Amino acid sequence: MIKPFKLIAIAVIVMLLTSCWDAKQLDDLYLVYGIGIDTSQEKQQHFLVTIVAPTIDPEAPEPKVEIHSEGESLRNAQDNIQNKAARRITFANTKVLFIGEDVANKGIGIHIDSMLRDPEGRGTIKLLVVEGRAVNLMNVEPQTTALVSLYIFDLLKQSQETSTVPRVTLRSFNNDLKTDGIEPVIPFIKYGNKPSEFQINSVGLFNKDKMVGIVEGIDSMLLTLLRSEVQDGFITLPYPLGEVEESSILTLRVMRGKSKIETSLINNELTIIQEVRLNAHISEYTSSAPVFDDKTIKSMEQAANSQIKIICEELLKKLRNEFGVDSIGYGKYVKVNHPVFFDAEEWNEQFSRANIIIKPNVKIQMVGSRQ
Amino acid sequence: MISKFKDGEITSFQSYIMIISIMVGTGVLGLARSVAEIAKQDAWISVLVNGIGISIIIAFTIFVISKFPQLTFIQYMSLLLTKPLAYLVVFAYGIYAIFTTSLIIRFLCEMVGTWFLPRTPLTVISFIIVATLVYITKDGLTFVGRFNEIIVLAIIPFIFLIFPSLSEASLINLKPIGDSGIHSIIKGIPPSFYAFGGYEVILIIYPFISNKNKMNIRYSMLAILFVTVLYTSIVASQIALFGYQEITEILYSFINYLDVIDFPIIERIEIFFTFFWTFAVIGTLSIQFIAGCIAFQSVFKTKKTNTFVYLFTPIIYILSLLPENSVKVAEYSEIVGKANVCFGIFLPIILFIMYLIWGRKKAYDKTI
Repeated sequence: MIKPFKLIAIAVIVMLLTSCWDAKQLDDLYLVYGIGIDTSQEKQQHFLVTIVAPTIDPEAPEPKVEIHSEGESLRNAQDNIQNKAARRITFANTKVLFIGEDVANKGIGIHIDSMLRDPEGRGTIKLLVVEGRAVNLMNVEPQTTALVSLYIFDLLKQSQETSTVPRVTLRSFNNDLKTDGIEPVIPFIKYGNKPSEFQINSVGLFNKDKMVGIVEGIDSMLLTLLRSEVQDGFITLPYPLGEVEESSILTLRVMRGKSKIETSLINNELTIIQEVRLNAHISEYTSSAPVFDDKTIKSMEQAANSQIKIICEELLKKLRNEFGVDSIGYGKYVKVNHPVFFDAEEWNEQFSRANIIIKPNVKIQMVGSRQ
Repeated sequence: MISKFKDGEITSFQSYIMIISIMVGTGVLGLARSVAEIAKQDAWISVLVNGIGISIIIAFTIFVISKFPQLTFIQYMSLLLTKPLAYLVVFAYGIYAIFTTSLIIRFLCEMVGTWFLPRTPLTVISFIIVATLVYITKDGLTFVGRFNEIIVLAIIPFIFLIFPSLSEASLINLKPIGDSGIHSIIKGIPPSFYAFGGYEVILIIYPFISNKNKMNIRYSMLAILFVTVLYTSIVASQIALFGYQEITEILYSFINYLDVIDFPIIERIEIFFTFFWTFAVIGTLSIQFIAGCIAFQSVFKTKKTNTFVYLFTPIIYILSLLPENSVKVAEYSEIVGKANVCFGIFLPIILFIMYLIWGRKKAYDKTI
């Protein structure tokens, strides 16, 4: 009698363990891949939040659903969005947070805190400041995919893989925000020539949680380089050095980059020396002259060093004089090496007065498939 | 007197495993935060110093109690501290163990409620944990020892999961080493007591070891040093990633530490980790609870340990639901940390001193 009872009990327990009783099917959910946040145009201090989610149902007339709502905070607006949605909204799959320019200028600290506090959100969510309003970007329908969020996510990934912009996630932004001696940055997306064309080769510079400026093009890549985040990418320069019209063009593909920062304090005068080591391959050389000899390689390396030094110093001039922010993080080294001198509150001011020397050290390892 | 294969013996190996298992539990989640609040970038030094200190204390503890190999906790305490005091201390230890068990259950509920089951009432989560705990402990220490022999493997992912996020870490966050000052480093030790707590269970379980030998001291110290190295690595890597300024704002820094890079295949690595961590905590719970029940059993001289297992089941369930919020839970964990100082540090030192004063003769008398 006991044996059958045990068997029945085991069978019942096993059945209970086979699946989740409250499992939700995918078509009962709106999986949010991107969240957009703008300031409200109607109410001051309110925010407009936009989400786009795939409808999944093949019979749905539209492949995606876009919902907006306003609220006093990001979370409040997200809750209001739920009230407009027929399905449960889940933010666990969010890949990108699109930040409208207005919101970025106003300060994003409260939104970052909101996203990090809720365990549903992930620390690896990428951040992107949008030229104009985020809601306009999220209305766009790219040609290759139904969801603009996924399209932009891939675009951002490509820009980061080529070191055009730094890798910035929710967590890394928060880390820069909370750490003395470095100011945060976020990649900036601009519209291209067509409405559905975008370009990510700019970086928004922040002072604390407020955006104070943008650096574009080569400056964006150099910022990535100086932040020691370069992995891959291209540097184009005239060679021999001179006017571009007269010289041939040399393009180096950076394969790996490292940097070393040293600081010294003599008579209360701060000097920061950053050595930037780059391993590169020749990717393009528009002259017919052969490059396959050691002397030419050395000369090219010197030319690259000189060029990188000049453009890095120009970027540093902008950071110090125009924007007044240490977006590279020299302050972290000064804090460690000269704790008495370092003033967390006044660091950006100290950074502007510091003597900064960039020492590029380019090593060309391969010349490509031609001599 | 312990007679072999009757009162729930364990092996020496199981005792080492139980030391590791009881220590690695809820404390590891917020260890880096609580220590870095005081010792800043040198938090890992505080943790290392604490671990080394504890390994020395456990050596003294086992040295003393190994002189009374035939006696239980309350019996050798009676010899060294007098009978009334021994009963008082053992009773107090029992209360401490039951209170700690409830707090760990609540910690586990908080984590499960935050990450897995946000809409499930705490009463339900706690009930399931308590039911599991009763099932593991009802058959005595031997079964708890065997259970922990298996469950200790859940600690292995803790080791491997340190490495992936290191790609985002920076050594500059650990510098300048020692700059927070010796005073801060020493002041940073007490916040780690809770994470290291539990090793004092050796006072209870040592008499139950069936194959006691001279290597018990050495391997118990190694068990503590293993946990010390693990904790030090965890704290150092978390500070290298977050820096001491950010880490002080993160409640469960170990979980956030994993939420830094995208892993292939496993999308939510922190949830994957929490799965193993839950088992590690169940291991901690089982030892802490059975130790409390054994303490009460020796005070009230009942025949079976499970009398107290069943008796305390509703009590730990209710106690686990008492803290109003997460802040209260953190406050109670500080109290447990302080109580741990009494049982984990002061008690072994007192026992050692008493042994030196008059214990040697009594130990000799008991062995002849």
